Amino acid sequence: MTTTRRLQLAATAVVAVLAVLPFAVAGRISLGIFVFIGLFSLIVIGLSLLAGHAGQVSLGQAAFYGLGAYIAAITTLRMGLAPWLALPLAVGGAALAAYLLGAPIFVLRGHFLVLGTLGLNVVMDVLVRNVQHLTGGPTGLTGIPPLSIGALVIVGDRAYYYLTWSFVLAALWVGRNLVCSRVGRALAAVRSSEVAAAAVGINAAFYKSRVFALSGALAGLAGALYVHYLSFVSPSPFAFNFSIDLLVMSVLGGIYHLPGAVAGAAIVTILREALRTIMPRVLGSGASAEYEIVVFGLLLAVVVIFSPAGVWPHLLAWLRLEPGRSSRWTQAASLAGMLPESPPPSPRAEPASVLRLEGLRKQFGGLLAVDNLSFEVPAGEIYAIIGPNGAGKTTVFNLISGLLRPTRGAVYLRGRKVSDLPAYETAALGVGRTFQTPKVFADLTVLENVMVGLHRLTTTSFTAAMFGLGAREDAQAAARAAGYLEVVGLLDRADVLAGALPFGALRLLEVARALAIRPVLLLLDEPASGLSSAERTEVVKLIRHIRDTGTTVVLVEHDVGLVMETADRVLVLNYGQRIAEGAPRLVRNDPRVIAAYLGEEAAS
Amino acid sequence: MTLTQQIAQFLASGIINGTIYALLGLGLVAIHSATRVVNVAQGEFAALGALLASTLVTRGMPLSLAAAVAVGVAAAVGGGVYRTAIRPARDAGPLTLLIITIALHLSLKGLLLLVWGTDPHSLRPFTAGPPLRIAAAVVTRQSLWVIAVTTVVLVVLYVFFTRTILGKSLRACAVNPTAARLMGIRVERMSALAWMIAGALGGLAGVLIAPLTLATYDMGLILGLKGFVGAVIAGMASYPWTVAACILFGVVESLGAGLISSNYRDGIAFGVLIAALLWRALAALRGGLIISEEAAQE
Amino acid sequence: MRRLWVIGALLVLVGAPPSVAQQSVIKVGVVVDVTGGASSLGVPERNTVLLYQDELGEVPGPNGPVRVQYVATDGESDPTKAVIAAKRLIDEDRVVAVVCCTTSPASLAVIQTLQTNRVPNVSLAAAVTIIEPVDQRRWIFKTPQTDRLMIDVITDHMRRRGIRSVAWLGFDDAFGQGGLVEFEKLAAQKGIDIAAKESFARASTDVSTQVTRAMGRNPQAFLIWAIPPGANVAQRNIRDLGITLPVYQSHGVANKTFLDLGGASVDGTILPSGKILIAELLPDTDTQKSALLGYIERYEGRYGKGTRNTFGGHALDAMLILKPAIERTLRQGIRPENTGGFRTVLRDQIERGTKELVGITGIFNYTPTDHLGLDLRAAVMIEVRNGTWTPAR
Repeated sequence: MTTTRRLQLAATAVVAVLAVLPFAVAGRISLGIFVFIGLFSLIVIGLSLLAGHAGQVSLGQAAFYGLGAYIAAITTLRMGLAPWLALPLAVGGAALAAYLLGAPIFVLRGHFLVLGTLGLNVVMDVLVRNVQHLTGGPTGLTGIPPLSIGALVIVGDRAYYYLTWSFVLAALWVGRNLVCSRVGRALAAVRSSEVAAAAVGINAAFYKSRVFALSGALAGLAGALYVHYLSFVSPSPFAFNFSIDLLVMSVLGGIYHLPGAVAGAAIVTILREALRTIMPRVLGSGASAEYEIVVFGLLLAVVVIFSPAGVWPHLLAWLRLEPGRSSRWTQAASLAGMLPESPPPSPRAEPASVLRLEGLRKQFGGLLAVDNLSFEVPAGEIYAIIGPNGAGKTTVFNLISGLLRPTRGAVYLRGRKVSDLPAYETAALGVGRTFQTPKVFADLTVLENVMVGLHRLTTTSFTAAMFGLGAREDAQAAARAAGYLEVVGLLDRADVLAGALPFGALRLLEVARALAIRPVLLLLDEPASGLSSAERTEVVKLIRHIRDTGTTVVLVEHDVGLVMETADRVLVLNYGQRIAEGAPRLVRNDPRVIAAYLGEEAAS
Repeated sequence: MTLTQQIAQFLASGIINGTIYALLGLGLVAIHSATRVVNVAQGEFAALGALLASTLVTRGMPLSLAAAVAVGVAAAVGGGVYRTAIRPARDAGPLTLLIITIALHLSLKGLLLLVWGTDPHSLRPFTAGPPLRIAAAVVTRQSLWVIAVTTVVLVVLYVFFTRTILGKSLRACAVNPTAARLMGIRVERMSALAWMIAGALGGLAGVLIAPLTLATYDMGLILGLKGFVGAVIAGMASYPWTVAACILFGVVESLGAGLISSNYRDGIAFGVLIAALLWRALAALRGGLIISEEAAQE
Repeated sequence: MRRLWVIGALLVLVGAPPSVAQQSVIKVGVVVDVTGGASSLGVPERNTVLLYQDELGEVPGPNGPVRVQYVATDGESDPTKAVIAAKRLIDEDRVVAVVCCTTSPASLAVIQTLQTNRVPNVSLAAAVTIIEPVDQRRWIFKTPQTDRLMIDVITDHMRRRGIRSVAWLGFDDAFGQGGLVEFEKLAAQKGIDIAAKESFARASTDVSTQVTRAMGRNPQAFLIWAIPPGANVAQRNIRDLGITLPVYQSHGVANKTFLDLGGASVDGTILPSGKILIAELLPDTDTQKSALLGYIERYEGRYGKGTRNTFGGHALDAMLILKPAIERTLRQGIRPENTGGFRTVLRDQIERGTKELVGITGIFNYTPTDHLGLDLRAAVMIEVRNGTWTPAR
């Protein structure tokens, strides 16, 4: 039996078990426990998407849970809204709150979301306690009507069990769609290298804030279900401690696999209930929380230190259900040769110069990295920048591609000023680049890496991706990406994880990825360093081919031989200043250049 | 009480609370600059110090000795925590390390609960006597102890970081661990030292406030969070700015609660935090700085 | 594949029909907050249950004695966890009644579950909304005095002392909110001005800001509505600021913790309480005196001198109410195996059969319209003098 088949079987079995569970446990285990596992799962699925796929942690999911709960409670109880109308309001309200908080915060790199959400959790708690005419204050609100659709009133454990778990399965489906989509690849790219993702035009903050909004929506949904289930709401279940509980569930289950969220919620809840049953019997005290905190704390520490991916991968391994490396694009990729090669950037009626730098200056504290640098690269040229170590070559690339902001001066792309744009915008305008140390997206396959390069040329939206509507575009993207892999000669390794490639292939993969954005201008940062001589020959051919298909190339290179072979013109930098510019042969004989490379004496 | 008296009183309690937050904030900065870890469990060091000191004093130990023991144990726990939980995962991402400290927070809190139970414990003030009147405000003697001891700690830290080889090595590790290693500094040891310092500072904070408030196993989190807010406002790097930010935060919190509404006290405090974050984000947007300088070098 | 079979077998095992329940015992579920914010209340409640579970653990039945087992679990001061705990007691242990919960929010949270499952409950929390409106609270009873009753005696005491302007300093939780609502009503009735309304969090370590704000309105006294340690922090802050105004506290501080933590700062505190704190000083004619002394001797004998408190008393009252009601239900020939029927008759027996029942909190008389069952006899004013409880002047 193939693994895929086994996985299908296992999934069917799980659904079947879920369906008969209420009858199986009747009279032995309270179904209420499973309703809560479902509710917690919903929130944790959102949190895992956020942590595992957007690389951000929230310590405020309990606040969105609470927000959903209070919106549902207040609109139905105080405003007389029908509960089935209150449900989308609760979901939307929580999503909106998350988006409004997240969108600005994600502009800051790093883990500021932790702080923001933590603050939100406290603020939310204080508001709920104090806006008493709406929320009922600390005592809460009683008598919230149950969910109902027409004459069908949903009450009791069994009804909420089925309802909640339907939502859980739906959330897993949505999450899976998202992870396997254009958006999911973009998120994986951001997680692996935010810089490289920006270099192919991905706006990390845009996607992070949407994932965060989705996680808010799921928490809000759980909150609304909670109030209709218990017909009661009070502030304490949504306090900061519960946010930590949720994080424990998420990490225990495993943040990189969505079903892990359900596993985490189940493990924590069942373990807690087991402790509640066992501990008093052992110690005769009736206090379970005392041991619970220690057990969960230690468990969390052990899991994070020894198995950061949580228990889910181990569970799959134990069941021999580890999925093989996805080869879902192989079929599409086989079309590579059959598709017409994507047309080169059309020779538009454009200004003669593709790239122009004007008086560019970059200062890092006391260090002047680039000093009053101006040059111009006409369309169709191969332009090389050389210079000794520390001459500021890579800094120039970072300034052109928008990773750094110049202290003074400006960069123009086809006459348009780009030096005040964020890196992902510059990339979208057609500046592709590679990095001195290749930054590939290690968790994605070679083919997927190039598909990420196509990000700005594909359109599946976040919402469409959630419902799995991008499949057709994905197939086309795979075929196009395969075309670029063919150009660099990596097509036979399309399904290999990029992290497993040898060094030389990483450089080629970066080139293919950069080509996929259909650049007007391609910046190659030391394309030949670390390559064997055979690979080097390939690279030279490749650079020429790229130029011949209409892309202007700027390269930084130490290998003077390669520069002489390929470049139309050469710029020599030293200490951030231009010391020579011109045809390779002229520059090679320039005494200032020789001095810079070999020292003053050799020159004289 | 007149409004002037009230404002004086708000300022006084704000400064005293801010000073406590500062002790926790300093510990957070010490840990963050040496090991790049945001320690969620920082407040637990304070709870440990407070509980231990009160128990030792109840058992008849002189207060000064009890305080010293409590601070020493907290420092040892800090070092031990680094050795057992942080060092094995030191190469993991910031996300993992953050979660580890959350785990530490839970475990330490649970252990405190097992040892001390849920009952609050009290500690007598360092010097007995009625509160003093300073300007228009009434201040307890213990509050003066808090401020005096914190000042001494700051001076000691300053001398340590600027005048001793050990302190300078620690700073070097914070600035550039790789270079520090090349210079022959044992980075591991420095990291452990930073955690011990953080433990000691936390323990000290606990000993100092136990007479003002009470010692409970779960007192740590909120203290740690407020120290955290101050440290973040100060950029998680500078010791003097952290102290300033924490005191400012204490004063804003106290004035906000006093003049606007005490019901919203924590809401105001953490609202300020969110506002500060959003302000930084908007400033970054306006500056167009999407990828930081540090990231471009990555 | 074999592993899938292992899992399958496990599932079958879990899902197998329950072995026929040998209902030779009658189970009563107890959910009290042994940990978390309300543990200073929940722990003595738990202690009391442990202390009395054997003595009150047997009732005479038609075919010889039947065992009554009290299954105690921790509500962890979290309404969600209390609800899960109650659901488990109902579904898994098939309890005939529950004693739940320590706090008002948790007691309110379980109402829906108890009403739909038709299980009688005796709550140990104060809020009057737990038992009112009574037509929507058929299955819910409670033993502690309501805030209304306590504030009634406090405001009377204030008037007697000529206090007409009071600063309110209460928790920002259900306890504080419940108290304030009643205080606003009764103060208006009795002509007492609420000079300031300040709140603080259960976990507060500094309340001096609130105290300072309140002092701006020149009150004649403070009324603190909190439990230790927060109640101690507030009172200490008042005294640390050199304020010598009279301080009233709620019945929430009627335990040893308050005295131990407070030391000199709580001397002179005036509070309402059940009679348990001053049982020895009651006249011998008091109907409750012997019951109180018996409980105190037992509790302090086990947990130490001065550990008596009202909360454990609430739990004992719940047991004292349930035991004869269970006995009467059995006498009506209802078999415990018929859990649903037993619960229904038990509820009726609690409501109709609890008459002049002498408890620790007071003397209970439940009726279909009164699920509190207490009157003003249940509260006395107490003053802390030299670290002990004394009747207030």
